[in-house]
Amino acid sequence: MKLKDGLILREVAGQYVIVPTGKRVKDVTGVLYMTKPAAALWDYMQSHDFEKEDLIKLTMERYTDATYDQVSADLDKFLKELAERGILEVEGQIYGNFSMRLPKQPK
Amino acid sequence: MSSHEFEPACRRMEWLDPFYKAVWEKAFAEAIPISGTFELTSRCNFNCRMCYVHLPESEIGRHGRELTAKEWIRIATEAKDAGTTWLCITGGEPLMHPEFETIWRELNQMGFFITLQTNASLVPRFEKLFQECPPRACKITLYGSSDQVYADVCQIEKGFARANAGIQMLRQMKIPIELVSTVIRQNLDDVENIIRYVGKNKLQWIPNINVRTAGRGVEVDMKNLRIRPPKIDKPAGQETTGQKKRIMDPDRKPCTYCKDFRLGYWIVWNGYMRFCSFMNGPDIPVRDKPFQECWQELVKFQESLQWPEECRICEQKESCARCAALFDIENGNLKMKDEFCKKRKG
Repeated sequence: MKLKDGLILREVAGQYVIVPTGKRVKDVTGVLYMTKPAAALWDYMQSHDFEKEDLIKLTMERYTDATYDQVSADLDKFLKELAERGILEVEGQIYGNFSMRLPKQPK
Repeated sequence: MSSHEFEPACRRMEWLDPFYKAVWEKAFAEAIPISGTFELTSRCNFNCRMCYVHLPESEIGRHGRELTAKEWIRIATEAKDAGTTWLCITGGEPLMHPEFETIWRELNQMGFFITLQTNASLVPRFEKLFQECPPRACKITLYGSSDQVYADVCQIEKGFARANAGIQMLRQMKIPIELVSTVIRQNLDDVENIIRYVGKNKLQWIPNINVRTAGRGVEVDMKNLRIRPPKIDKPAGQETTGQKKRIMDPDRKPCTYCKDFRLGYWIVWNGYMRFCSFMNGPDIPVRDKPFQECWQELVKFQESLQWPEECRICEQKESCARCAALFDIENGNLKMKDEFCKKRKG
């Protein structure tokens, strides 16, 4: 997985928020804010192609009390949200308009 | 948390998202300038009768010097470091700043949530720029639904056609748009047509009837522009009893009623940081001093500003709805405008 470019993580009065820049302003229209543990992963995600396992490892190194299952579940939610909001480059993603022909229903 | 005894505006905004609430609360408590407005220029290609900012180019020099792109970018960099995240770019007509493109490109890359406030007429000229660096949102002034009404209000030819071309371009680019209309005598009869236009284009619209002068060197003929809100007859039994409602706390200072108190600021076109665009002061020169120093000075100024003596001893001090922007600033103090008091007291 990879983060799209043109995104800046900012700390604003103690909260963490993603601010899009350049053309990305049109793609990311809502306000995406995140917790401190998620924000701590941002630098790594921005500079690496990563897998969920990489993020689990980094989080568990930082939060030694956390369990694998708990971190994994939290990251599932986080990555799903990033993908839905158009912040992740997802392999096989289709850009722009497209059309597809569905097979006819068997009679 | 702040030691202020009054309730900050964000606590009354129940509709606010928890993120915004948390940001606003902390910014208020710690006086972080999270929200700013850059008034890039007093130039405008329209000449709206009710505008209190627009100056003809020949008069600009009498009131100061516009900030250059380099100066705006330096201020923006320091503002971001100080915490500014929400930024409104306005004017005059901001697209008229001679270095608008340079300023816009830089700000757009820096990491602000930017709203552009414009009359939209020059948007087609900057199509390529806005394709590459789109605004997050646009607030567009709409003063009529035909060129004739624009001629009456904005004293400009083909004003509606030009504004509409810009609005349609931004719509095609899927930029969120909010229309804002000041209703004065000259466009009052056109309001129904404006509403039709708003509906047809499925846009948000905020009308208002506020016409003010701001003591900033522009004469606004308020008397011949203002419309009066319709009088609403109170149902029988609810007539005024002589006992007026208490709406102001005389112990609270003027700026504490403002939602931007301790978290927002305005930088006017000639380089002064202020707390409100309607004010003729204070003149805190952000051109000459670091942003953070100016911000601290502004907060201190707001916290020390008092109501004029006339207000403090007035019998209507608890029932007279007012804000600092209804006064002038003279020698660092609020100064009563004669006509203001005459109207209130009848």
